[in-house]
Amino acid sequence: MNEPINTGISKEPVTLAPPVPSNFLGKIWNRIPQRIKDVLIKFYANKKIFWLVVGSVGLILFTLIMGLVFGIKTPLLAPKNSPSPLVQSTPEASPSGDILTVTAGRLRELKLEINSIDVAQSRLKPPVINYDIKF
Amino acid sequence: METRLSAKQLLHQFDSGRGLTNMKKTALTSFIFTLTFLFFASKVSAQTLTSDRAYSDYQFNLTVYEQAFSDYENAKNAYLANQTLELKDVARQKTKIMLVDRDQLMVVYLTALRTKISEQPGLNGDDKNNIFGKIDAEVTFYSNHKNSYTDNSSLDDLFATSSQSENQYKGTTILVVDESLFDISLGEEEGLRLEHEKIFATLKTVIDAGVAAGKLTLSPFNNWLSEISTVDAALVQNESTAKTQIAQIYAQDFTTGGGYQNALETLTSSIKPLSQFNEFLSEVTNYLKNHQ
Repeated sequence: MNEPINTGISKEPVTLAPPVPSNFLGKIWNRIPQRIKDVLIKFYANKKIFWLVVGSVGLILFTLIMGLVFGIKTPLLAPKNSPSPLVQSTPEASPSGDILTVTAGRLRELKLEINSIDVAQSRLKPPVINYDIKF
Repeated sequence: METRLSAKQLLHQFDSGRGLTNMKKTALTSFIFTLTFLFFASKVSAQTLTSDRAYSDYQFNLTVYEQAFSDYENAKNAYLANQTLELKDVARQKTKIMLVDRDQLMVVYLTALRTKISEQPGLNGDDKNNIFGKIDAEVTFYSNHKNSYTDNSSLDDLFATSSQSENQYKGTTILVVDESLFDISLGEEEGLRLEHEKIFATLKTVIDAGVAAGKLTLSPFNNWLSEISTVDAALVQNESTAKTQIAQIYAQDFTTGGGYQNALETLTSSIKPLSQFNEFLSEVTNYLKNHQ
């Protein structure tokens, strides 16, 4: 009878342990149940469906971001601290203040505009052009 | 060679971390793409052409033209001093550049005038549309005309084409420029008059309310308001007269400039009653404040 040679190799089937990802995302992936993993992998394997879905979701997100960035800004009604009062030595009338005070202020501004009128519009005079160019 | 991966292979890739790397790459690429797009999208915002911006453009193009004219003169003088074929060709090229820049300068200048007029609140829609039509025709002429100069044009061709631009400027453009400058000043004065009329109406309301409440009497105000109305009417009349005068420039020899000068004098004569309008309203305002 031949004696079995002890080769030191185990007769039990060897199962290769999956490599353990060292990063954070890998740990999260390992915690996901196998059923969900299978679904995700099938989804990722079908590139046509994958890119169609990713593209659609990306477009929706992009539209939302564009709307947030460039859309009409509606004032938020969140409570906020009121600004501290500004103390002025010569207080100016606000538009909601005394109408005569506001009018007097506006008349002073208009007076300045009248004094600055340049009827000849010197600043906008046409450029000096020499049309005598023949030689 | 690209091969499709089975679900099992993909599972192994995900477990070993390679799949995750691919996903991260995809996500990172999408994120960078989105950020890049947003960055450029934020840069592309609608820019309104203001009169200040248009004036800056005009100043820039004026500098360009002046440099081109200086280059043209240098090239011309060099050729006249030493009449070689090469120097003549250089002079021809510099002449062509200067002429194109000159037409472009007129386009930008007229656009600056148009923008300034569009910002005048005192001018009504009809007044603006009337002058816009004339300015636009001039802009179209110079925009098209600058393309008439070609790289192969001879000096004689360039001079002949240049004379078209000269005729346009002296025959039509200068009149449109005069009317535009007039309209800007007219718009400023009309705008100020309208602002004062608003204040005048407000003060009348305050006076009426004071009289109705028994706090004020009509006796000093009747004459004052009448005086102010007379000043206001004089301003309106001046504006009407000036408009008639500026319309005459198209019926005159362009060298006289009579209609334009007369119209400017009329506008100048409006400044004193405009100041008076302001002072009278200030006086009434102060009186009302002191008698509240």
